[in-house]
Amino acid sequence: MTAALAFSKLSKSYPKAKTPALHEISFTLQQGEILALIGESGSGKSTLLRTAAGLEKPDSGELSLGSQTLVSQSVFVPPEKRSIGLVFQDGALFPHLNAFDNLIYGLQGKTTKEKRDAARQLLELVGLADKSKRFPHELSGGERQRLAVGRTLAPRPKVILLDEPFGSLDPALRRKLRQEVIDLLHRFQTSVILVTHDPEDALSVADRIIALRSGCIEQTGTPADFYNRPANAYCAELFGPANELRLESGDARWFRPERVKLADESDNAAISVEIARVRNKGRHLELQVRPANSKLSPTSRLWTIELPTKTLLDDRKTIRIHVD
Amino acid sequence: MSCEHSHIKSVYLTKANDLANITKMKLFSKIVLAAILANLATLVSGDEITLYSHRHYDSDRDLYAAFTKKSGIKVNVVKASADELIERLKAEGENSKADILMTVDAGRLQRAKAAGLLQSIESKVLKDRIPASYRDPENQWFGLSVRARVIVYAADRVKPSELSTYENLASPSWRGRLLARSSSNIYNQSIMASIIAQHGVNDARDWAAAVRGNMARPPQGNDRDQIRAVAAGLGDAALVNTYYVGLLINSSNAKDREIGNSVSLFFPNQKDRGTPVNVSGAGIAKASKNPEGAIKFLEFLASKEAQSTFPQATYEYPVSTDVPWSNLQKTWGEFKPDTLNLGMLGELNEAAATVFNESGWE
Amino acid sequence: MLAKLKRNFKQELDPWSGSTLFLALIILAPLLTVAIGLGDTGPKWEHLKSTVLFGYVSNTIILSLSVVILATLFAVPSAWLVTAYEFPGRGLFSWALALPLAIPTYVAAFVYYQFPEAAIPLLVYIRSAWGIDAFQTAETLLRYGLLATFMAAVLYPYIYLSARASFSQQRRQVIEAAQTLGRSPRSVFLSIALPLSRPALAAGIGLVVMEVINDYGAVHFFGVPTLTEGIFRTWFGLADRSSALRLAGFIMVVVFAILLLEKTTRGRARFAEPSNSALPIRRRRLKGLPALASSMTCLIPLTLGFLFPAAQLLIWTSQTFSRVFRADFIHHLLNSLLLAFATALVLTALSLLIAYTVKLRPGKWLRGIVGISALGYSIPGAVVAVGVMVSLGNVDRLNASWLKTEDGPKLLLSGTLTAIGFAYIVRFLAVSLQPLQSGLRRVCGSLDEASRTLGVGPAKTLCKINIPLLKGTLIAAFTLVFVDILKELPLTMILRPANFETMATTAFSLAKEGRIRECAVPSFIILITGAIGLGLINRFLKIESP
Repeated sequence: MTAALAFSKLSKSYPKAKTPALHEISFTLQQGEILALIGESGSGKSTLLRTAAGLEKPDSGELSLGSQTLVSQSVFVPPEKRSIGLVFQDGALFPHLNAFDNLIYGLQGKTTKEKRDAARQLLELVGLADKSKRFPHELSGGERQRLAVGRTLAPRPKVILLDEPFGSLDPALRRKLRQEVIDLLHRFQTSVILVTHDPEDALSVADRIIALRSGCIEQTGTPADFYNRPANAYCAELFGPANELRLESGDARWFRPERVKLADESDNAAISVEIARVRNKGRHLELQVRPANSKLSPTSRLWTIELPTKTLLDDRKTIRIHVD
Repeated sequence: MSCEHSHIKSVYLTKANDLANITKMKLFSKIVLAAILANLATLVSGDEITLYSHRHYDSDRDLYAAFTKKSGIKVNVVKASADELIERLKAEGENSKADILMTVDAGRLQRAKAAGLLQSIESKVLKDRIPASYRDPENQWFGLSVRARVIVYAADRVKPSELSTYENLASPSWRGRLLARSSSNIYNQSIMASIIAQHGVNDARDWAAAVRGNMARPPQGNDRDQIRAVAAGLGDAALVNTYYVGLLINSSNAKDREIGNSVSLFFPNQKDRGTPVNVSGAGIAKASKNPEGAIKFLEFLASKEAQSTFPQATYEYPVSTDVPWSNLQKTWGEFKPDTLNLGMLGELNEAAATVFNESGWE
Repeated sequence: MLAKLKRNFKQELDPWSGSTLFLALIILAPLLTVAIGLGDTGPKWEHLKSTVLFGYVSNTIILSLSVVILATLFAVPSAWLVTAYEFPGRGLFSWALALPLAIPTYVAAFVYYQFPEAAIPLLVYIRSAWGIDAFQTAETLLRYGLLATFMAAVLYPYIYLSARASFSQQRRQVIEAAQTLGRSPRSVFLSIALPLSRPALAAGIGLVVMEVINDYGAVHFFGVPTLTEGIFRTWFGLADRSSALRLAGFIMVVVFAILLLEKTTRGRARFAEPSNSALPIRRRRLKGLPALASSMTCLIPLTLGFLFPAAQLLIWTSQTFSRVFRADFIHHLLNSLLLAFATALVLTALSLLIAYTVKLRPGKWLRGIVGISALGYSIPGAVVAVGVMVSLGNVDRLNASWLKTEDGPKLLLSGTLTAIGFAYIVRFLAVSLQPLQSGLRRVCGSLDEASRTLGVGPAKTLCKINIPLLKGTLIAAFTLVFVDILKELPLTMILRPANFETMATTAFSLAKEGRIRECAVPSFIILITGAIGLGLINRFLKIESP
């Protein structure tokens, strides 16, 4: 795999903010890779994306696209010369142009016929072939977002950046559209950075995930890494509830409630816990438990774990569990 | 609660819309061209003079037209207040297009002279036609028409014995009866200058404070408004230039004519120094590119032909003695003018404004 | 530190920011010329302080306060009524209440000046009945009251427009929630709608105060010397330019404070609820007496501020039209329109360039300099004129020494239409810049950024995205500037070239000659042009939000 977009010690701060928006960010987007950027709001996701697109000027650091330097001490390539596409959160469709004209907007230096052919093909791909004369406000939310993706793809950018592209849609539509867009991006074999705050987006489509917090990278890894081995509480909680387990070495690790089963008698790694509360959730039981060895959980918070409903708990006050 | 606009007018200016084209390019370029041509036009110099004038009478235009017809010299006019014109002359310096500065009082001409904006000229015609008291000893400015500031009063409410001098207006018997315009007005400042010249600053201050105390209402409006107020009975006497009465009597408006005819006119200080007078006059700008034309213009205004129009058209007195007064002026009668050198009015102007401020005459 | 600043500055300099910076600095030059004088204490400063300064300040404060109170009373109830209720004439009132903007305060003064005269018999009666002191009190009250009333009647639209916009942007849900909690409509207005609109009202009030401070004709006519009149009295009467400039500096500081206040309230407002989730308030239908009372509430300010002056001017115009409307008058009219048109066109284009560059290059330097160069709107026109005069005079001197030919210097700027056009640009930059800046922010949002990530450069983006989207705003900005230039008086008086008259100067000269009836003709033309302009802007608004 070759590097598509390489960030090197990129920093950016805004005059009135206390902490920098980006602090020495370094990572590389591989050719054809789909990378998800996730983090709480204000963590610098959007700033990173806008910096990559050329809409913000970093204070220091370098950025290169393949062998071309986009940003360095002496170089700043403006957005229109970067060949990096950006899909805005709200689509940013041009309200005074119809679907067709929006789509061909970025096709410069081509004949009318070439433009028309390219547009027809793209309209087909984004499922708007019969709506090419409609104006953005005459399209549905999903259609608008598909058009926005199609418009970004039209000039065949080397990298595509998506800034919370499904944020404003309802969950059912969101899932459907996500799949459509990912298929489309795969077909074009572009490299993608996807900014999202929805763990489902990141876990289901990304090859790799980067978690940001206060302008710094907290963890880089595959979806499985994030799910099973979050680096810290912040990264763990980005993807739903997690329990902190303090190891004998003093290090901490996190485990998901469903990654637990009742331990065998012979299991040496089993942990004894005291049951505080049991709730039947239909498919599973949700237990609030307290580790018998208080060193395992320095916080006073209870662990939340899930066990199959058929598990027989009798009247036992303590059980032994195995953490995966 | 979202108030995005800063300039409230921009309340109107929200989102985009799809409207027809803004402008037709052709109209666009025509207008730009017209603007350029209008600018270039000022660069083309024929035989012409440019007059910076405080005077704003319609009749002046006819007079200038007559000059152009006679001499072939075109007269361009910039009208604004004398103070503003003097500032403009200063800013433009030697590049000024002005040939002549014309004001409605000698004080401002003197001020322009002091600022080095005027030049001395030699003209036998002007010397012969204009009495020495009405022109600058160094020939930098020349009076062209004479104005007398007098007391206009309601004959039914003012006893003849009450009228004597300006100084007498400070007497308590006038309490609540006097009317005058604001002290920022140059005619009032000239009266004040003449009083300072006569009595000194301290007495002048007391006089102004007493007169202000005798006023029926705070100073406001122009001379015409003071005459109207006397006619309506708001006050009994007002400080006014004579020609305003003339303008009212000859107005196209019947009500104004009635007002003009209902008031009487008194020339104060006849038994001592004479009634304070002033001139409307002109000087030739130092930066003038056409001083010959400018001299011709002034000589024309001093000519019998031009002088005779002042009493008829604006009811100002002529400067030259060989021109008959209008009938109206004759009914007001002969008067003895104050012989104070008019240049003094300019020199004491600042002191006059200061004294007014101190006296409380707004 | 300095090196870093220098580098930042260099990095920000490109053709866009460079040209904008250049323009902004040129526009700034006359203002700096004025500001340089602020430091010196003039020889008459102590004299001013001990005599008239207090009077100027107290007159300014009393007049501003009374105008603001009256204008708020004219504006706020009517704005709420047309937003929240349905009553006879509502649709018409809704836009017609903005019409007094078409009347400059000096024209209103011409019209209302007949009243102090008409009141003389009453005053004479008071004097005979109650004596001189009662008479003088009555006279002063009458004069101040009349001045404040008609100024409020022509200036209230600034508050009305912002209040109306703010009321109509309020969320229906909030109002309805209050209603379901058992609040009466009147109490909803007082406890919810009005407090929510405070920033908008503050902005409108700030503009009214600015207009009162800047007025130069009406206060003179009515014998109420304010700070602006004080500037001229000090300058010309006392021949103390430094002290006069100091007074101008005072005014600048006050106005700057108002602008800053307005900006901070606006800054907070931006974080308020997004207005796109707002449903407009559902209007209640009024019948009977309340409906009549509502119509009257709207009719009173409209009558005082527009219908009466317009009718009076129309009557006078019909009486004197043939006397005034001659060949040279038509010439002046064309001059006036052409100059306003050409300058407004240039100014709108410049403002677009500047606003776009500021959005394109969000550096502190540029924003700051552009912000300061738009301050010309806060300074009395005559002071701007002096600044322009002095700086152009200096340019001409430089020019003359370079281009000296045998026939004398050529291509001078002083006393040309270029000079006066430039002065209008200095004075009115804010008027067209501000709508365009907020238009770029609100209408274009991230659309121009989207265009650029699609490979289209900034210049082409401006033409293909911003200009088409801002068409309405551009026309409106142009119209505002056009009408403002047409109305402008003091600056035009001082700077105009020879033989050049506009409608405003014609009106003023006629008024100075005491020919008030005749001056109705040019005044009426100003009024009609302004009203047409407002109608034009209003039409765009209707199309946007049906």
